[in-house]
Formats: sequence, structure tokens, C-alpha cells
Amino acid sequence: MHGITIQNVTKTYLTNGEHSVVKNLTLEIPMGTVFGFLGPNGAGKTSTIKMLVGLSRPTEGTISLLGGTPDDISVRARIGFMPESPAFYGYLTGKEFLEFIAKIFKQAHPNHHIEEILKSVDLGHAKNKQIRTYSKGMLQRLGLAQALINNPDILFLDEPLDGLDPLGRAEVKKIILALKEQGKTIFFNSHILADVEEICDVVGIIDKGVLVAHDTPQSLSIGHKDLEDAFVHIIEQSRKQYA
Amino acid sequence: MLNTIFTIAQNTFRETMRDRILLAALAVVLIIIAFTLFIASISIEQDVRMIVDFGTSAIYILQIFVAIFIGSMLMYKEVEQKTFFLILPKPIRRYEIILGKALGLTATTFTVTLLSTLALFAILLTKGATLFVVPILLSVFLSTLEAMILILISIVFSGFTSPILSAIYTIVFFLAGHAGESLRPLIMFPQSTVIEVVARGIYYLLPNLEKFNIRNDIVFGDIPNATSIIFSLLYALFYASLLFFVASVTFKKKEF
Repeated sequence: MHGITIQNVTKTYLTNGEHSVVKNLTLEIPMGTVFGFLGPNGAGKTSTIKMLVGLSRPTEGTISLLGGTPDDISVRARIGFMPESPAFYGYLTGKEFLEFIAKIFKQAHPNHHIEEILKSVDLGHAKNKQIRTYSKGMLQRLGLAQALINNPDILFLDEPLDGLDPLGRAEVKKIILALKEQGKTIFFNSHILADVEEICDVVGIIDKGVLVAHDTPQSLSIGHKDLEDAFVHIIEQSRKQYA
Repeated sequence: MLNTIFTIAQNTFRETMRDRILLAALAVVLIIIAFTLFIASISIEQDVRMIVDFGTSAIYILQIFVAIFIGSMLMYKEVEQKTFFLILPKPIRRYEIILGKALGLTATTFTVTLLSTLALFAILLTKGATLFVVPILLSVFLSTLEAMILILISIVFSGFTSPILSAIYTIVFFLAGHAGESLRPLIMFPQSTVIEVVARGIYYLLPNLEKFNIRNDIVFGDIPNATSIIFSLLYALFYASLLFFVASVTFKKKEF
């Protein structure tokens, strides 16, 4: 079954001269895989995820999702995306926002489904409060809820654990692990390596737009204390090589 | 497709109608309309005309405020605060978002117009001046069409510039749209071919927003005929379609 195929993708911006943020990236992620995309800040993780969900387009190369392209409406109906620090319509309530998203997916009677999702992300108590009154953790969980509303086949999460307190992180991690149990394909951007090690089947490490490693967390950690140690070593090696 | 556009429009309407800035602007206009009673009391035999003049002008300013400032802020929130990141990856086409946003904000403009017009009617009722009901309705209908055009202009500009610049450009468009008639002498009696071509180009490119202004006329009892009203409606729809096309092309190419 088709999953995510990225072939020779390069993304170049022309601001302040030509600047490539992703360089010749090739990745194949089969269905049912939880893929962790790691890299330091500015490595090209968010640029890659934006191209995967159709917010931007590759300068070169191709992206295939579920056998189509990110611009296909039929493909978009089967993916979920949670951006980094999601921003909402502040004057709507959490429930109203999810109703709005459900209508975009043309769900006829979404109320029961919305209630279930709100409970699963622990927002049932705040569903009728305006979003502008939500805490950072609540916004992250609402971001996750809107990404799950269509029961997606592929879920893209951009730094879903970023900025959360330990309790909030544990809650969101629990939800992601439950999705993994259900066999969802998850593309997961993060720089919190302990969580990635726990959640992901396969990881890719990107630095300065170049994919420098691609393997299971266990394989990458061989000969190192843990994944974090391996990550630092791989980045240092790659920078020496390209210096 | 229509369902999706309606969903975006409904959401835009709900979001903007709860906006405190809009509610504050509406409150100010309602106060101004109430204040016309005082202005009328100090004018001799012109009290009703004063109420109509001040009232329709206040409603018009509210409409322009909603179109330019709430319109620019609306797109600012989507682009700069990245609420678009939650919407664009969904099964929705970008032109559906543009049309939904424009219709939602037009519905908001229509609602605040309706509320303030009802307030104006209530004031006129205290004076027993029911003769002005139809002219006022025609006047606010035409100015709502103008607001619709300005909403689309602010959306077009916000597709490729910052919200502040978008608001400034829309204001320039608004002022130029009302000053278009002053170009006529340059076309009718040109000093040179270059001036004539440039003046003619600007004249036909910019919307003639004066077509939607009958506020002065109705104060003196002049009502435009049905043909003129229908022509203004068709003109607004033509110009709005053109702007919608430009906005759709701009947003289709836009990367986030």
C-alpha cells in the first residue's frame, strides 16, 4: 500500500539570494510506520512537512502521498496535520472549531465524533470556552484533535510536544502511542529525542537540508549511550564531512 | 463546493461578529445615530434631513471600516498568525476559502448595516418621517455593494503584502475610486496623448465607487431609478468577480 514517497526533493527560497533549505531529499515511508524526523533548529524539518501537506511546493523533485500528490483533494481527505504551535480562531469555542473542521470534511452528523475526540484529548471540560482562553497545552491538544477529526490514514505532526509541561507532554504522548497501536502512519517532527526513541519505529536525521541518517532508533543507537548521543555524533560527523 | 464555501463564510461571519473591535465600532455608530436627535433639535425645519444625512454617513463609515480594517485583519490572522496552516491542508480549494471569506465578511457588513439602519429608522419614527425608509434602504444597499468590492480589494492585497500595507493600499484604492470622476476632464480635453491614455487607463481600471453614493441625493428627495440601481448592482458584481479571480490566482500561487 502507498505511504509517503519523497524523491529528490529540493526546496529553494530566493530571499537574500538563493538558499536551499531542503537538498535532494529522498525517503520512503511505508504505511503503518511511525517516522521520526529529527534535526537541529533550522535543519529543514518544518520546510519538509510543509511540502508534504501542500502548504508549499518543492522547487525540484516529487512527493507522493497515498498514491497521489499533496494537492489532490482526495489525498487531503485522508491526511491529518498538526502544525507547530497551532493558531486558531480565538473567538470560537473548541467545539465550534471542531464542528467547522468536520464540515470541511463533509461529515454529516459529527457531534458524537467531536465529543469523543474532545474527551480523548482531555478537552471535554473546556469545549464551550472560547479558544483565546486556552492554555498552551490545551491549544496543542486542540491542534491534535483537529488533525484526528477525519480519522486520517497519515498523520503529520510538527513538534507536537514542543512547549508543553511534563504533564501535557505525557498526555499528548499517550495519544500518539494510542494512534500507533491503531496502526496509523505518523510523520513526526521533533527535537525531543527521548520521546522519539519511545514512539518511533524509524527515524531520519536531517541537518542543513541534507538527510544524514535513516534507520531504526535502536540501530542508530548502537555504540552510543542513547539516541541523543547518537544524534549528536551523527550531526558532528556530517558537519565535519561538509566543512 | 457550495457547502464548503458556505462553511467558510459561516465561520468567518461567526468569528468577525464576536470581534470586540467590530462591536465597539458598531456601538460608536449607534451612539452617533442616537446623537442625530440632538443635532436635529438644534436645526430649524431641516431636522429630518439632518438625521438622514448624519445617519447614512455614520452607517457608511461603519461599512468602510469593516471592509478595510476588519478585512485586512481577517487575512492577517490567517497568513501571519498561521491559522491557514490548519485549513489549507484540508480537502478544500483555495478559491473556496477566498470566496467564503469574502461572503462571510460581506454578511458581517450586512448585519451591522441592518442593525444600524434599524436604529436610524427608530429615530426617524420618533419624527414621523417614514418617507425616507425606501431611499435609506437603497442608499445602504448600494454602500454595501461598495463595501463588498473593498473587502475583495483588501483580500487581493493581503495575498502578497503585509496587513498594514494591505489596509493602506485599500484606502488608496478607496480614495481613488471616489476621485475617478475628476479624471474625466483629462480624458475629454487632453493636454497630450500620453496624459489621455494614462488617465483613461486609470479611469477604467479603478472601480468608480461614486456609483454607489446616493447619500446626498436622498437627503434632497432624489431617488435613482430602477435601471440605475440594477446597473450599479451589475457593475459591483462584475468588479467583484474580477477581483475574486485576481485573489484566487494570487492565493493559488502563494506558499506558506
